[in-house]
Amino acid sequence: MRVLVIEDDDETETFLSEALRGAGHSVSNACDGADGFLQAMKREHDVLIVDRMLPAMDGLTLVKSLRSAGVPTPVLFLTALGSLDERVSGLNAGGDDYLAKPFALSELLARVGAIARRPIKAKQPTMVRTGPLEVDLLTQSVVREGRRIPLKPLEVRLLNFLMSHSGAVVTRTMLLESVWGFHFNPHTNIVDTHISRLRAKIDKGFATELIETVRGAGYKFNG
Amino acid sequence: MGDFAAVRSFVFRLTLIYGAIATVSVAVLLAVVYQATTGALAQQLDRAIGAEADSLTSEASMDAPQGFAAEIAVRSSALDKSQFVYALFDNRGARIAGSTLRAPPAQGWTTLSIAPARDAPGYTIRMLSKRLSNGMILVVGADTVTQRAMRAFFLNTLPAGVGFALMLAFAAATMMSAWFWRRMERVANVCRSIVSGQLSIRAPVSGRGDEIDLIAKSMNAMLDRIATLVEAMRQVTNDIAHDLRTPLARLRQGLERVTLRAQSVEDYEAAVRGAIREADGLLDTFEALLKIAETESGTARASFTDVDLSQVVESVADAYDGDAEANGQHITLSIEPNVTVRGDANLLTQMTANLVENSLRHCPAGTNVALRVTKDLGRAVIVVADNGPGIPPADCARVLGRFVRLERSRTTPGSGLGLSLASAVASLHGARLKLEDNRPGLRCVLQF
Repeated sequence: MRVLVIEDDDETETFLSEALRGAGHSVSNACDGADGFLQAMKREHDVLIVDRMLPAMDGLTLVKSLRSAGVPTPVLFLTALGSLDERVSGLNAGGDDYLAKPFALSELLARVGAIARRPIKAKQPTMVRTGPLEVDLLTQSVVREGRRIPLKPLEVRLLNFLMSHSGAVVTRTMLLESVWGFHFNPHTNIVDTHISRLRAKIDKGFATELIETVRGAGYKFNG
Repeated sequence: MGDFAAVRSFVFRLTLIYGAIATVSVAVLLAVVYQATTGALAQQLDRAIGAEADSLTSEASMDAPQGFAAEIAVRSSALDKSQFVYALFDNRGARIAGSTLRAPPAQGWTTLSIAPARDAPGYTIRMLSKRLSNGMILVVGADTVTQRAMRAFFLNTLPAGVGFALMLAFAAATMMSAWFWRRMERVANVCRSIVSGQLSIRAPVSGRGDEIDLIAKSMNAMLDRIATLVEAMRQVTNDIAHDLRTPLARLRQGLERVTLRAQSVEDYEAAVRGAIREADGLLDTFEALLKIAETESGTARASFTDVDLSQVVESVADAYDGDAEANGQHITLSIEPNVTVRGDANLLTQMTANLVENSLRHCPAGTNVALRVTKDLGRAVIVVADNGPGIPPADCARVLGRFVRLERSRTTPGSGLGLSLASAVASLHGARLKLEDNRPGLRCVLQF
């Protein structure tokens, strides 16, 4: 993927570029808001990583300007401001995701992957089918290879999120935010517990495991 | 700022305007009284003249013309004792008796002004002229002295009165504004002292409960609040200085040791992993501290919405259910549906999660954590109760402070900030977090 990193701090920029190249992405960078805006307008990128506080043009203004210029490239905001209000204003300005500094590399890579593949949602489908699994969100019924699997509503939500990011790593934080609505880090491993319960239900008695644990990062649904 | 100048004073302008309005209204009132009084006097005079003329007319019909003329002459000569003047003319208009009028005035009422002479002031006479049955013309008049006196009285006193009233208003305005200025100056001085660094000073309150007391009290309350916040800030700084030093020291020691003693790549890797772990712990602590500070600042109140507490507690229970079971603990629920409060859903969720986590972490296997949401007398109540080891009553208030970890739990992981944050979130929502003895165990009660 082509990733544009707009970040004024050299060290962070190097850290990000190396990590992204290491993950197989091609990286270009801009060190202030105005330059970032020009580059984002000029060339096509798959993902923009934008720092909130930038010289020449702050991140919020930059993304707002891009959006009003009709540039739909997914944006991941980076910020040292971690409060929820900041998050909301970032998303309202047209950002697709928000990551507070400091962050784990695996978290950053997973989120870049997630927003890049995020489909343009025309309508929320009620029927999701990935690999051997079929989920009807209206009736909350889950069927694998013709066999019905009874799941709790929370487990259906969890499964749906994993399936919609099929093939990509999702981190525990992403799951906590999207499935539970927890914008904080619990000190217990509630995600792992729920995943292992879900696994026990959807994989038991089948040959292949659908949910893979990615060490040091999170989980991946292999449909 | 500082020097008194009456014209700049708000009270001065106010008092002056008030004085002017009062003066004008009194002047208008006096003018109305003047009109009514002089009108009544004129009517009274006319009635008296009419009555005198009538009584003379009835005499004239009985007496011979000569006798009547003599009567008029007598009455005219008694001018000093009577208020009336008289004149009698024959049918050709020649004066027969009475006053010095050369010719009879027109029939009916006439007002005659006599211009002031060298040695006498001018005056006005009101006259009634009447033709008698025998053709003679009788004139009866009277001096309008009373009306003149009344007018003179009003014209002389009114300007003086108005002037005096305005002067009084001006004097009152100056005095009152000076007095008000002095009291305001005291409040302003307090502000100046605070600006110059004397933060503990407070505005004087007279105790009369007046407007200035109102301002002084509000200002003092504001200053107290600010002082509390500043004190809290100082406390946080101290806490951070004390409690972050330990993990930072550990981090440093770990790195230092590996540079001295590392034998292999594995040693370095282990040290780096350890350092990352310590750093993550530090970052968690920082985040928790910032969140507590942000919560205590109260800015989140601006974005409060209606939050379904029943749903919040249920979702938290849902999230921790599996964990509890894995540890051999149980979570039981007793949730009244649709209990709502005004609040911040994210913070309320985290608060509940912290309380549940706290119970799960400090309770051994086999214990039960009971979550309850009810509405008590219209107020929402959340109870998180366990039957674990509990907290000694003496420590119940203390554990809500930052970084407070009881001796018994030193070995379990945790930053000592979970309950502080829960308490801060509760205060933000106007609720109080109370820790009680559940006999046995800990009972956290949140009453909104």
